[in-house]
Amino acid sequence: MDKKLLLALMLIFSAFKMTSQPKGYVAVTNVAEFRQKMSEAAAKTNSVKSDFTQEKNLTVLDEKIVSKGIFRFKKQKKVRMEYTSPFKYLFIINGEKVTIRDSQKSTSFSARSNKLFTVINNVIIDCIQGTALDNKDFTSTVYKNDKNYLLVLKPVKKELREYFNEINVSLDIKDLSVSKIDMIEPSGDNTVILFQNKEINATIPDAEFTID
Amino acid sequence: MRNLLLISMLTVSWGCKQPAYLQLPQTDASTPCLNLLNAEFKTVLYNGHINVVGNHLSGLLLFKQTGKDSTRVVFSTEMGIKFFDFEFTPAGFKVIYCIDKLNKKVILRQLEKDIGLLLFQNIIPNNIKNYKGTNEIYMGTSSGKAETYYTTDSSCTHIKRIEDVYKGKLKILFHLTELKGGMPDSVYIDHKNYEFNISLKQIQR
Repeated sequence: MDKKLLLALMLIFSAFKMTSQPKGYVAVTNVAEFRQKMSEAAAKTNSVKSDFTQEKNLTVLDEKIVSKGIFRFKKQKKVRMEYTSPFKYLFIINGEKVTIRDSQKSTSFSARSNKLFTVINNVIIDCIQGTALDNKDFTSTVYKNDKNYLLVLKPVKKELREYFNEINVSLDIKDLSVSKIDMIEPSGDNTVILFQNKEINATIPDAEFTID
Repeated sequence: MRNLLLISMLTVSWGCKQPAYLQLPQTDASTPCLNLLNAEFKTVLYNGHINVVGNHLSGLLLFKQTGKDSTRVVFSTEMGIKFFDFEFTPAGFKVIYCIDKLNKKVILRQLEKDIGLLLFQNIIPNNIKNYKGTNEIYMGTSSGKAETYYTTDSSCTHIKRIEDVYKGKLKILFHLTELKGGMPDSVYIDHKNYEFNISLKQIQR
């Protein structure tokens, strides 16, 4: 009986072990080296221009909401995320200020006052600026395969755990640029943002980050 | 024409009085008109804007019929953060998920009421009273001190207005445009007793 129990526990434990590591990835053991690589890549990156496709998956309802837009980043801490289809929506971070323009209204507020609206973009900023592992809002684990690094970020605070189980960020192994973000909700629903047609260090006018 | 104008003006400005069309002769409700109170659609996605006491919020509101008389309604921000997931069935209203900040009795009750009215929840066809104007048909239901009036065009192609009345006072006024995919293309919900309005516009996917 004890042997059967032990075997069952071992099976359960091994199953947990298997699921704790994302499929197709191995854990990065030398995190200091990865951190160094991120810093070096960040030092070389002054701006990022790309298109993006966002896919929200409502698993139980078997529904996908797909939207597209353009993404801009410029040092220091300037982000423009502009949804162009199938709706218009603009989100700008410039330092500690945020502007949201939807089809009805423009709203500006301090980034500190509303973490929920800035959390995703702050994760992107942290990754580009090489500080993703230092964000105290998340615990992080790093994995890799031959194409990507994968940062698995788990929210520490209850206010973020309510929205996300984890946020998985895929970084291109060649230049450590963000290629994909997968936000997984406690319900199992998720939102994936894929960054395509990336241009590193392209010229982006400051006017694109104007706060209203 | 003059009568119609008068009825329209009174309808918009009634406040404490009964709507003018209740003075019209009562008729039998026709099947096409009654059918409008039975929304049938598969999935409809709206871009939604909420203005409440000086605050503004926008997002995506998804309606999906999951079975006969069962509808799921999910609201998320444009960036994908889910705020609520409700289920409407003949058995009642169920909160599948709601963020803590919205998960308050008073807020849930208002959202249940607004969305429920839009989905024509809890309507008993036999209780509907019908009034026929020159260019509009008015259907009314009541339960205790609460009354709801649905206004359609004369050929019953779509519901143009929903008026929610309590103790004779207009509480919520809905303006609806023509149907697209079984649901109104756009919706404007105006709460008369405090600054709270919702506007929805369908997104074609």
